[in-house]
Amino acid sequence: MAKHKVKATAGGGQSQTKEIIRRFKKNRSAMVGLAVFLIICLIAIFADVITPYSNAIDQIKGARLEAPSSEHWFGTDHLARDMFARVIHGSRYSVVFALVVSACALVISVVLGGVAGYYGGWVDNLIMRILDIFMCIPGDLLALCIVAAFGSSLPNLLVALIIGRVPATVRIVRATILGISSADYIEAAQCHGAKDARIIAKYIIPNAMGPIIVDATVNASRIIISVASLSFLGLGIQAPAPEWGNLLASAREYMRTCPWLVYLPGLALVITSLSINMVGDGLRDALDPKIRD
Amino acid sequence: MWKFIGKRILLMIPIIIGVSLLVFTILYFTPGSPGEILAGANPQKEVVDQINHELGFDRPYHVRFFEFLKGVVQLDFGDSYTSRQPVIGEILSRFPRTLTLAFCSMIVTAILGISIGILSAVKQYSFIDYASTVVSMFFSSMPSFWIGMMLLLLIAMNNPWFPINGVKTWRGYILPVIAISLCNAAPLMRLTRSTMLETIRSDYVRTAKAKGALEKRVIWKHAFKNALLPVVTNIGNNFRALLGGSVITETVFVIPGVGSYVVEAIRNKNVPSVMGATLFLSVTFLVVILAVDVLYAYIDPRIKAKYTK
Amino acid sequence: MSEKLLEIKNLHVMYHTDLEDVYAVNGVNLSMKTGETLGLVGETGAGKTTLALSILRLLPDRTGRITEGEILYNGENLLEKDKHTMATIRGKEISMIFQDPMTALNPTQTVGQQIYEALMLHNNANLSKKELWERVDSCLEMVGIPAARRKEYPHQFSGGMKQRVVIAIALCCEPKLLLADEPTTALDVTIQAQVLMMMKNLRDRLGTSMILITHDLGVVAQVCDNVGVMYAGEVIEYGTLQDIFKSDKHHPYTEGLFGSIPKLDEETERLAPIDGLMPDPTQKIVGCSFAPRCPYAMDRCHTEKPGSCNDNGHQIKCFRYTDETAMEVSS
Repeated sequence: MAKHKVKATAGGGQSQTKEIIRRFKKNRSAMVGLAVFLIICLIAIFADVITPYSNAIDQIKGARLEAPSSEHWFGTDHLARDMFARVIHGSRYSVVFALVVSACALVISVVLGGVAGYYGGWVDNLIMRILDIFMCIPGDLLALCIVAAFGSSLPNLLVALIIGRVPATVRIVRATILGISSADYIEAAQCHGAKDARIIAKYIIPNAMGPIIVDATVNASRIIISVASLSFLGLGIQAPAPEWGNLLASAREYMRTCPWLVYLPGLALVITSLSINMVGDGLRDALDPKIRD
Repeated sequence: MWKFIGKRILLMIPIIIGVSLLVFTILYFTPGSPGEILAGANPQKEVVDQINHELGFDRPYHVRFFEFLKGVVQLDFGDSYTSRQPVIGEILSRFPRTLTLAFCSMIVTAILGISIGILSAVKQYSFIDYASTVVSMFFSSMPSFWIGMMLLLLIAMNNPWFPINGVKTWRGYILPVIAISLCNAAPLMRLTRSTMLETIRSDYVRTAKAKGALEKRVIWKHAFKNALLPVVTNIGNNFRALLGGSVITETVFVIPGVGSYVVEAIRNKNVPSVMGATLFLSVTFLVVILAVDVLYAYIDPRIKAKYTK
Repeated sequence: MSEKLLEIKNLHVMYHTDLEDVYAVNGVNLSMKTGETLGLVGETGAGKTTLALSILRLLPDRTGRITEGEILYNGENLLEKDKHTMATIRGKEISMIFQDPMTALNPTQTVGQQIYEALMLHNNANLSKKELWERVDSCLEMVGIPAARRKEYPHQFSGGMKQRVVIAIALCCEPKLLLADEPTTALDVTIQAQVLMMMKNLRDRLGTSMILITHDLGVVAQVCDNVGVMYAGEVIEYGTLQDIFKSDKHHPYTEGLFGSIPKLDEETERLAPIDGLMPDPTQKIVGCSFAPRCPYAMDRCHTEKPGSCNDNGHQIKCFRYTDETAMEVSS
């Protein structure tokens, strides 16, 4: 009987947020993930301090496809460029895309999903049917089509990935908001005569934020993979820019003789995406402790 | 039941029109015209215009869209710019490979995800549970194309039994299927685990235990079917990712399927092929979703009751 | 005096979660004879359900833990049984009706299958499939459901009908002891009376002993022979129906419990609810658990646990009585 009391209460509030933060801090893997992701962010910000961008682009005479050494920590690629510098600078693309795309997708989805979920009726129907159509197109094909039509410049890529992410996120936001707005405490607030704006600000947003933020983190890690995939197909960030997917694409031909060209950028990719997933996981557990009973 | 399926098929029509409109509109903005591509190097303007006119490319947007839609109904997506062959023929000749790849991946994903998920839920907090959670976290953070490259590097290159590219024999499918399945099974396993954990704690499972059923029976006869419901939906929705995954995996393993066809077409600005293939894959996905919904009804009597009403 | 069917000695149960430890049952002593119906009353959170789940060893695997005590069924300690033996006891010897019929049935199996399973698991007489299904039909008819409905799924039944199915599952193997955990709480008032009467009739017909958990004293008065009043994981008063409803001597909590029920035959301005709340179950209680809310509380109540006084079987755990009538004091 006593176990029923963990369920979150209405109205969010300070103490609940504190409790969530406390639980998050207790989760060791989430804290490790957060630390790793922050380090990667720092690497991205201070990439030029670690090694100048020219190192990632300039060719070093007579140093083609060299194995990792004390001079070139990650070896060199087929155009005799320092892989360490390329991997370091590649972090910028991943971090920027992850943050910008997931943040934009989050904002757009909260607006669309919020409107659909809270108002319902024909607005809901219209938004959801349109998104159903977007959801029919497999995987990153929609983003690929956008890139094909408009070109793969940086802003186009951002837009393409945002559009690719929005439909699924809207669904989650809408479902969350629907769940909350049909909850008894919303009805109670309406009976007290609370206005729509107050209900949205005081009840719906604080209670919906949890699952939505968790989804945004999951999205961020998927976006990193999507960007790399597009670039790997040659339809994302264009060479010679040192995007990790690019590095892997050009490594394909030299895989047999120079496997480090596959291992290292791939590992960088996996570690980044893994660190975000670990944070997302920790957030999920912190928000919803009932599964751990 | 048949009435439900019929209704769902009718509902697919507006969605297919919508997808056509979406894909057509996006690709409408592709720079360049077929004339420029088809007329070869250094084309004369008249020749380009002539070709564009013949293809109806100089007509307004809406006329061309309805033309395209009419083609879609007749399964005619136009001719490929590069090969001058009908797109539908090219797609159909490649489709079996993509479908095999996606279906095998779906099955392997389901087997891996569900079995490990259940094992890990039933043995919660055991070594198996921790290990599978950690491993699944790793795999869900890996891009399938990198897993594919690693498999090539670590297995195929040392092992002539596995072909490095192509799918001339069934052996060619093994590594691509593993590459797609590993990263898709990871989230599925986590979902299965959490729904299973929830089901194990549900009241009706307690009722079953109170009847005197042993744990094994409770898990297989009561918890399993109920926990499977959200998992089945997820497998259906995941087919979208599997088809998407095949696009990139086919490129890694050089498999001549619809996925690598799209990528090639996008590189060549081969608009009819891109449109045709995208639409084709979308419809495939819709059909799979419908099949999953029907399957769902066989597991959950509540849904079945809703369908047959 | 017939033999003791069930005897619970000094039972302690706690829930252990990541966040906190909850002391749900703190030293319960109870016993009941064959054929008897024991009512357990108390407010939500008093540990009634936990007690029932402990008897069947159905506490949540990970969190619930029996830390101390014995549960003797026909003289054998259930807590020492292995899981296979326990499975043969569950449903056959002791079965349970749960509080919420809406969630107690498996939504993906027909009600017939669910009753069939219980019969099949305890099919010691080696009945054939056909005979078992005939039993399923008669079980359904026993609880007032037409046998033809056995092919239907739980979602096609109303709450009251679902509870009848749950009762059919619990009684189909004719158990010696039935644990009914608030079997009527989730039902409409009109249905409550029906279901209760049906249970009473079936109990009499099958000769089942029963522990009826409820917070409805009216139900207790209708059905029970003996009553235990639970508070904060302890049985603070125990006696016959007469003792509890007619005697002058009561635990202060029981007085409060009766004071908070409206009486039709007396003019009362307002009800007399008990002030305060139940103690925090995450804290170990020193002294009498009711002392903070007790109007008669003395200094020693806060520091010492009262033993139970026994007046011809009417047991009260309170210092007000232990001193005067102490005859047989147990822990």
